[in-house]
Amino acid sequence: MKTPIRNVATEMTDNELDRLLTLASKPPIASDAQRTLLARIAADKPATQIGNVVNFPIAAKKSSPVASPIGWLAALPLAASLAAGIWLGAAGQGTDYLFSVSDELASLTDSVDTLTGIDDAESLMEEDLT
Amino acid sequence: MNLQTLHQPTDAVLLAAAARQDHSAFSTLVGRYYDLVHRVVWRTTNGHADAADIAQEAFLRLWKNPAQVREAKALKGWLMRVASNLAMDRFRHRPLQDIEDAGEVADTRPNAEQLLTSQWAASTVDRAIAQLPERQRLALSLVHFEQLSNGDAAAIMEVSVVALESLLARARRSLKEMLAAEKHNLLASLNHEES
Repeated sequence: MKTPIRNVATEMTDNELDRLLTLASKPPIASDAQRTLLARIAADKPATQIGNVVNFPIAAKKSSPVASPIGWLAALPLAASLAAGIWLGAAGQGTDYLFSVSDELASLTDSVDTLTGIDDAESLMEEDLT
Repeated sequence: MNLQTLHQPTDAVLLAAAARQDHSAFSTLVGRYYDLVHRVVWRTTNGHADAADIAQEAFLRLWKNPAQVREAKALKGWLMRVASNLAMDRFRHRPLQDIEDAGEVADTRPNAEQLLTSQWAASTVDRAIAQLPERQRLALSLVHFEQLSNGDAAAIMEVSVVALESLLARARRSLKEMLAAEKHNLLASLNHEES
C-alpha cells in the first residue's frame, strides 16, 4: 500500500489554522436587534406566557359537615337493639330466646341411607321405575 | 470582579422576575446574552438573513415559558442550545447560502490586488467554514469563536465530550484541507493586516 505523498509546502499546522480563523468575518449585530426583540415581547399578550403550574380556580371552601337528623333517627333502632341485647345477656335471659342447638340436632332424625357406590345404582334405578 | 459586577442581579433573580412578566428583568437578560446567541446562530446558518429572527425566537420561547430553564446558571447554555437547534431545524431541508455571497468569490480567481484585501481573505475562510457539516460548524463556533470549554460546548450540543472533540478534529482537518491551497496567500494577507 502506497503512503500518500505529503505536501509539506501547503500542510497546515494547528497554529496556522488558528491564525487563519481570525480572518473569518465577524457577525454583524444590528443595532436595533435587541430593541426589535423587546418590542415583540412587549406586544406579546401576557396570556401567552406559559407556566409549568396551571392555576385552577380555587374552589369555595366546603363548610364543615352538619349531622343530618335523619341519620340520627336511623341509628336509634340499632342502638336500642344493642342495648337490649346487652341487658338480656347480663340478666341471663338471652338463652330463652335462642334455638337450642341440641334440639335442632335431635330433630334431624331422618335416616340417611349409606351409599356404597355403583352397586346401589341399579337398585336406585329400579326404585325410580317403580 | 468590580463593584458594578457585584451589584448585577444574577440570572436566577432575573429569570424569576421574568416569570412574573417583568419586562425590565427580561430586558437585562436580553442585553446579557443576545449578542452571544446571535453570533452562534449567525455562524450556524452561514450568516443567513434569518439569523436575527432565529435568535429572537429563542428569546421569545424563554419569555413565554421561563420555567423551561430548570437551573438558572444553565441559562446561557439553554439559549444557545435552543437557538442552534432552531437554526438547524429551519435549514434542515434547505441548503444554506454561503456567507456574503461567497459564490462570487468561488467563481473568480483573485488577482494580486484582491489577495491583499482582508475582504477576500475573510470570504475564503468563511466559505471554507460554510462547507463544514452543520454540527462541525457549530462545534467550531462554540469552542473556537466563543471560547467555551469542551464540556460546556458538549452540553449545549447534547453530545459527549469525546463526540465533541471528534467533531472539532474533523472540522479542523477539513478546514486545513480546504484552505491548504490558499495558505500562503491567506497568511500573507494576515501578515499584511497585522503590520
